[in-house]
Amino acid sequence: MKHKNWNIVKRIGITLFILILCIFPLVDTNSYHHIILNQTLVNVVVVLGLNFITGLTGQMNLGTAGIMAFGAYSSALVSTKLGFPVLVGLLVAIVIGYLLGRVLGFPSLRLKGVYLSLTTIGFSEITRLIITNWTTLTGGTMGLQNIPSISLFGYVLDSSTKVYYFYLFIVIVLCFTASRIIKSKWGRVFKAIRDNIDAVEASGIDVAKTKILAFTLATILGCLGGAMYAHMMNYVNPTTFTQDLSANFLAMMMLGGIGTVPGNIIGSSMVTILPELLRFLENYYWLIFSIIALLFAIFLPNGIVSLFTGDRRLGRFWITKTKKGESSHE
Amino acid sequence: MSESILKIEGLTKRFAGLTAVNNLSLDMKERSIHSLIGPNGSGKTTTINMITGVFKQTEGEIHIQDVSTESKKTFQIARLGVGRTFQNLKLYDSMSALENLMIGGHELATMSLWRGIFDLKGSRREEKLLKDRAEYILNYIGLSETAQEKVKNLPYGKRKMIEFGRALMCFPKLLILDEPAAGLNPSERKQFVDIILKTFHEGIDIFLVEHNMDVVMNISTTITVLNFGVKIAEGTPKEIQNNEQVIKAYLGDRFKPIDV
Repeated sequence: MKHKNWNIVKRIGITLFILILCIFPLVDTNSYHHIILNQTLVNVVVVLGLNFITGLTGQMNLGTAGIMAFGAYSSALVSTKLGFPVLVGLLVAIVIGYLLGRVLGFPSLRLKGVYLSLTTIGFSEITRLIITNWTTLTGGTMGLQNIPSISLFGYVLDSSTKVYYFYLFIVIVLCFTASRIIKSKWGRVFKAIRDNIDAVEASGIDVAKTKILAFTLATILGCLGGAMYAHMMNYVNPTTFTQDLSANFLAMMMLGGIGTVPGNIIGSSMVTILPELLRFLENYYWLIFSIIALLFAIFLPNGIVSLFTGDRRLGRFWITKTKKGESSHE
Repeated sequence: MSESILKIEGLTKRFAGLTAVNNLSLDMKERSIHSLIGPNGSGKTTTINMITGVFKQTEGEIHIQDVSTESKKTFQIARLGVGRTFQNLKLYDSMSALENLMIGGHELATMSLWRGIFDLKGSRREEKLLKDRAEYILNYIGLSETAQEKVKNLPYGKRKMIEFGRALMCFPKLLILDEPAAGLNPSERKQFVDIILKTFHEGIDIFLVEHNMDVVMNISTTITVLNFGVKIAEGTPKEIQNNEQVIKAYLGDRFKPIDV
């Protein structure tokens, strides 16, 4: 009975949250705020993807910036140089994401831990260097300009508010989908690979295929996020897609809470919006933001979402594990 | 004459200079509990790891019901109907007992992820199938009340039982148990042996590696004894207990030859 009530509370909460998000642009008409929100929505898409490979499956992927760059440039090039509608560009980004996942997933079959991290960093840097130096195609450091805004069957989303509603729709659909995958047998098996890979194989599960699947989900969402970013800014250049960006996405996932959709949303919002709210501190805003992030990491190692799930280990960092009668040197 | 469920011929495994298993042959018949015993380091776990494809053998052949496991990976061998437990527990610690079992049954649900995204009804049906099976097995091993508990919070005996239950999820034909009684107290051990016998009587053949001689001598149909990777004896529990070489290498004085 308690379980049923909790489900109703959860549903009402989600509906209210979506309603607030829908009404927000009508109350606050500042277009700069809308741009920040759009950026947050894009980040949520990417983090939802990263969550599958790094959060659930436990394969450290530090190449998110490269993946996003692939999506951003492919969609931008399809809609500028080839002149296709933007929706086709988004679809191309998704297909590229799918193919990229298949290719990028392969190293993860043989490499673990820090070696996989290095490989994915390598991928990201190579991607950035290619888009920087292939000037005839990508415009080099000048970037790609005049990327068209999204148009839905002739209706151009030419203001940040219109883009906001479209992206909000995409994010809501993706959040529900991601949540369903996490709760399904696939989400479970991703977590199982993180927990104990030998046991997974002994259960007759093709670990290689499953890892590539998790990578593919990450790259599809990463590329889609990249494409959404490109059409929102109408401009992309290589300096956006540095290692800082990859690290930022990782921070979003970790701070919000690994493995859960609400955690991804909270983390992305915090890392995107909080620095903007701290702008009044002028030169010190990034320092203060970093300190806040660090405190969250120390006191809520399971992410901010653990405040609501009861899974928290508040302050565990400071408490010695020693129990009565046990040696502290253990 | 019954058919072989597991047939090993000339199995050898060399790690650099060390020969862990040397020219081992054994023929495990259907409807039997076949035990592999021997002192520490005699190559028992290495043999299990070769049967399940974790290690590739240097030489020799393994057949599971006439299917060669050569060139098959671990998960493919598991799909032939081979379930296993591990000497050192390998559970999914962050998950509940029920979820641990459901992962064991992952292959029972065949829908792909991409189809599952769109087919709401189908994926719900598959989820229910897995859950029903997991609940059935939990009940079977007598741990229904732990379904929602995280396995890392359970006592060792129950954790071992959960691992055993997980191996049962995919309807195995052959169950390979690596030291199931190790670390259990006498009452837990008895409970475990009862469950093993129950599964055996329901049609699952058991390949057992175990150090506890009471367990081995009581439930085995056939016993193979390894010493330094070489098979030194094979036979019924009675024959093994009377075998001079086995007594010298492994059993010691406790198992004195039985007067016939």
